Amino acid sequence: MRTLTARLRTAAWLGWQVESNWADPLVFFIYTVLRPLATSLILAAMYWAVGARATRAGLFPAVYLGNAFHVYVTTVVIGMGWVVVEDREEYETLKYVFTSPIGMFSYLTGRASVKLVLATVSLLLTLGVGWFLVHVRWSWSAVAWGPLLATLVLGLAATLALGFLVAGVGLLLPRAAININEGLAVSLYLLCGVIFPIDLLPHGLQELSLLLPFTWWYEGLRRFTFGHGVSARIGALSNVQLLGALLVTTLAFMLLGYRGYSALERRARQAGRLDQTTMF
Amino acid sequence: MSGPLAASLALNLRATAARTYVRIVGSIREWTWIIGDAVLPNLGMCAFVLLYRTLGAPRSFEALAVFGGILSTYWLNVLWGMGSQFYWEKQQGQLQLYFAAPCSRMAILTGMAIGGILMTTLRSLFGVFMGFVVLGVRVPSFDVGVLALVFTLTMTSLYALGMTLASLFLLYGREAWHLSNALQEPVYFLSGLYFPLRALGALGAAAAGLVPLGLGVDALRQVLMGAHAEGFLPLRAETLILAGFTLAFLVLARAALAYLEGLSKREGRLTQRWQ
Amino acid sequence: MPASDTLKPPAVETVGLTRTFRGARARRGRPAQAEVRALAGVDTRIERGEIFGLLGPNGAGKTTFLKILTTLLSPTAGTARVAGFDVEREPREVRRRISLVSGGETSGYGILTVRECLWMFSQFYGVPNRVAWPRIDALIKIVDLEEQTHTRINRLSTGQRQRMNFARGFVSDPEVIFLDEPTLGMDVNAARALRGYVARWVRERAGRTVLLTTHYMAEAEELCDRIAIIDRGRVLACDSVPGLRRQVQGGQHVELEVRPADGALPDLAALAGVQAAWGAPHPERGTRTVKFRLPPDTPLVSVLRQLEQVGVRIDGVATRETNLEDVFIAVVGRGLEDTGGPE
Repeated sequence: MRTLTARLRTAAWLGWQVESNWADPLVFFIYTVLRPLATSLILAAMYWAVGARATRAGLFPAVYLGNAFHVYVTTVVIGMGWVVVEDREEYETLKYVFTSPIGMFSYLTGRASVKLVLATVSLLLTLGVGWFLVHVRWSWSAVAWGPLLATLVLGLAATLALGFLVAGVGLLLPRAAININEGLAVSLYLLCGVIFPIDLLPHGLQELSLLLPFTWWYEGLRRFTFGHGVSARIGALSNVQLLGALLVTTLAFMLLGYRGYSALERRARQAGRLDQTTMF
Repeated sequence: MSGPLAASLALNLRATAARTYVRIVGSIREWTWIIGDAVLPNLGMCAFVLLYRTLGAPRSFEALAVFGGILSTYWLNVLWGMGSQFYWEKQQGQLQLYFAAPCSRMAILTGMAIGGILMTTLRSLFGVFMGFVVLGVRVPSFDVGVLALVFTLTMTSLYALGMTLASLFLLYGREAWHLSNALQEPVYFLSGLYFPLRALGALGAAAAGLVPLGLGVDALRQVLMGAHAEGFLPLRAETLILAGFTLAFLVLARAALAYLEGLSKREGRLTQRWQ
Repeated sequence: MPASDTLKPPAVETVGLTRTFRGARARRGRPAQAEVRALAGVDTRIERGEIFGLLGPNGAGKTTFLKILTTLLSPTAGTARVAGFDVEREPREVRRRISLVSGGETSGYGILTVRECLWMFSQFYGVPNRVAWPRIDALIKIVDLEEQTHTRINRLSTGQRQRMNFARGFVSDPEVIFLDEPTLGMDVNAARALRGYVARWVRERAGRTVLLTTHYMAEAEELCDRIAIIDRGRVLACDSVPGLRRQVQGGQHVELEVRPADGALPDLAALAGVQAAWGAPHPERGTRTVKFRLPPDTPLVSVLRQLEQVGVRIDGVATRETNLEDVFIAVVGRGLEDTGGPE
C-alpha cells in the first residue's frame, strides 16, 4: 500500500509540475478558469440571443448544470490522451516510465488526479458565475445531498475509467490523430444529453446514450439538485432506478477501461509504438 | 522581373510547394485524423443546434449554429496547423533546420496553410452534411459569387493572423501554446460563432469585430441568411474590414516574424526544446 | 589552393566573437543562476577548401560557435563572417551557402520516406528537381540507405536516421558545411564511411569547406587540415596536427596503469611537475590509466613516488609518441570528458 501511495504521489507531483509549468499566472488563469467558463458563456449567450422567443426557457438552468459538470469529462478525457502523446513524443519519457517499476496504471492515475483537481476548480467557478451572472440557482434545502454525492462519485469513477481507455488508444495513435480524444469528449457532449434532452436524439442513438454512465450522471446531478432533469424518458424513472442504472453502467465502464487499456497497451507493445514519433 | 527577385520568388515557391506536399501526404497517409478532426467535432455543432431546439428557438438560430461550427474548423486549423506549428517543429528539433535554410519562413507557413486547407475543407464538408442533411437545417437562396468573395477574405485574414501567431509561439514556446489552447472556447464566445454577435451587446460585439473570425462569421451569415442572420454591421462594411484585416495581418506577420526571430536569436531560444 | 580562391574571402572569419547567456531568473524557491560566458572573444580564420576541426570538452563553446555561424544565434559582441557575408547583417546570403548537420540528430517527419524528406530540404534550398533527385539518390547510396529509400522515417533505426540527416546536410551542395559531432553514436563502419565521404567531398571541388566539431581525437586527426582547441569559450591553440604536436614536444608521453588504494581516485592536480589526466578504467583488472607528458627535466621516478605516497600502486608503465590527446591535455589542462557550461 505504501509503495502504491508513493507511486501515486510521485505521478501526481509530476502531473502538477507539468500542468503548472507556466511562467505567467495569467495563462494559468485562462486555462483553468476562462476556457471552461467560455463554454458556459456560449450557452448563456445563446439563451440571451433567443430571449423571449424561447418557448422552453425553464430548462436552461438544468442545461447549464450539465455543461458545468462536463468539464470533468473534457479535462480528463482530453488530458489523458495528451499525457501519453506528450510523454511519448515531446519528452520521450514514456518508454522510461513504462520500463520502470511505477507501472502505467499508477502513473496515469497520478497524472489524472491533478486534472481532476483542476477540473473541480473550473466547475466551482462556472457554478459561481452561473449563480451570480446568469441566475442559475437552486434551493439548497431541496438538494438531495446523499444521492447527489453518490451520483458525483460514480460519475467521476466512470470519467477516470474512460480516461484510461483514451490513454490506451493514445498509445496506438499517431500524434495527428490524438485529437480523437477531443472528438470523443464532443461526441459525449452530443450523446449524453449534456445540453439537451436525449429524447431529441433518434431512437437508436437514445438507446446508445442510455448505455453510457454520463447520461445517467448528468440527469442524476440535475434531478438531485433542481428536483428535475431535462429528459422526459429518464424523468419517468424513480431515484433508485436512476442510481441503479448509473451504478451498473459505471461498473461496466470501469471494467471496460481496465480491460481495454490492458489490451491496447499490449497491442502497442506488439506494434512497437511505445516510443514512436509521428509528427508531420 | 529582375534576376535576384526572380530567384528569390522561385526559391520561396519551391519551399511552399514542398511544405504543402508534406502536409497533404501526411494527411493521406495517416488517415486516422479524419475521425478525430473531421467527424467527431461536428457533433458539437449538432449539440448546439439541438440546444436551440430544446429552448424552442426559431429555426434560423439553428442555421446560425451550423455556420459557426463550419467556421470553427478553419479557426482550429489556423490555431493548430499554423500558429503552433513552429512550436512543434522546435520540439522535434526541426526548427533550427528551417531557420538555417535560405527560404522565407512565410513561404513555409504558407505551405502549411495550403496543405491544412485540405484537412479543413473535408471537415467543413462533413459539417455541411451533418447540418443540412442530417439535422434538416435550411437556408434561403444566396449569391454564390458574393459568398466566394466573403469566404476568401475571411480565410486570408484568418490565415494571416495565423502567421502572426506563429511568431508568438516561436518566442514564448509552451506559454503561447497554452495561451492558444486556452483561447479556443473564449474566442468562440467572443466571435459569436453560435449566436448572433448582437447578443454580446454593442461593446461586446464591437470588441468581437476586432477579430477576423467574428466578423467573417457574421458576414457569411448575412450572405447566406439575409435579415435572419441579425448581422452586426452592414455586409459591405464587414467585407471591407476583412480586406483591411488581410493586409494588416500580412504586414504584421512579416514584421513580427523578423522581429521575433531576431529577439529569439539574441536570447538563444530558437533551438531550445522543452522551453 | 587555386589562384582564384585566394581572391575570395575566407570561408569563416570571426573577430572577438563573444556570446553570453543570461542566467535563469529566480523562481519558486530556486535561486537565480549566474550568467554564463560561452564564447569569450574568439578570433578565427578558416580558409576555403579546408577541413577545420574544433576540439573541446563538453561546455567549451563549440556548438555555440557553430550556432552563431549558422545564423541560429546572435553574438553578444564581435563579428562573424561566413563566405564573406556577415551573419548578423546578411543572414540570407549566409544561409544560401551553408548547411548544418548536428550529430545524434534523429529529427524528421516520420510520415515521409527518406527520399521525400531529402527532397523537401532540397526545395528549401531552391535546388531544381532535375538536379535534386539524382543528387539525393547518390547521397542515399553513399550513406548506405538504398534499401530504405522508400521507407518512412518513423520506421528507421536511430543510426539510419542519423545517416539520413547526414545526407540532408549535403543535398544543397553548400560552400561551407558545419558538422557538429556528425558521427556521434554511429557504429564504427558507418562513421568511417562518412569520414571518407567528407574527405572526398572537400577535394571534389575547389572552395568547399568543412567546419567539424568532434569529441573523437582520432576523427580530428584523420580528417582535419587544422584544429582549434577550445575550452571555456576561448581558443587555446590553433594549428595543423603536426604543428600542435610540436607545441608540446619535449619530454616523453607516459601512460601508467595504476591501482588506487580502497578504490578512491586521488586528485591528480596535486602531482607536482606534471599535468596528468585520468584515462580509461580497466574494471576487469581493477586498474585505471593515468596519462601525462613528462618534461625533460623531471625524472619519472619522482612522479611514481608521489603516486605511491597517496596510496596508488603502479601496475604498468608505457611511453609513446605525442598524440592529439596529449596536446589537448597539455593545452587544456584536463581530459576531454570533463564537463562545463552550455555547449
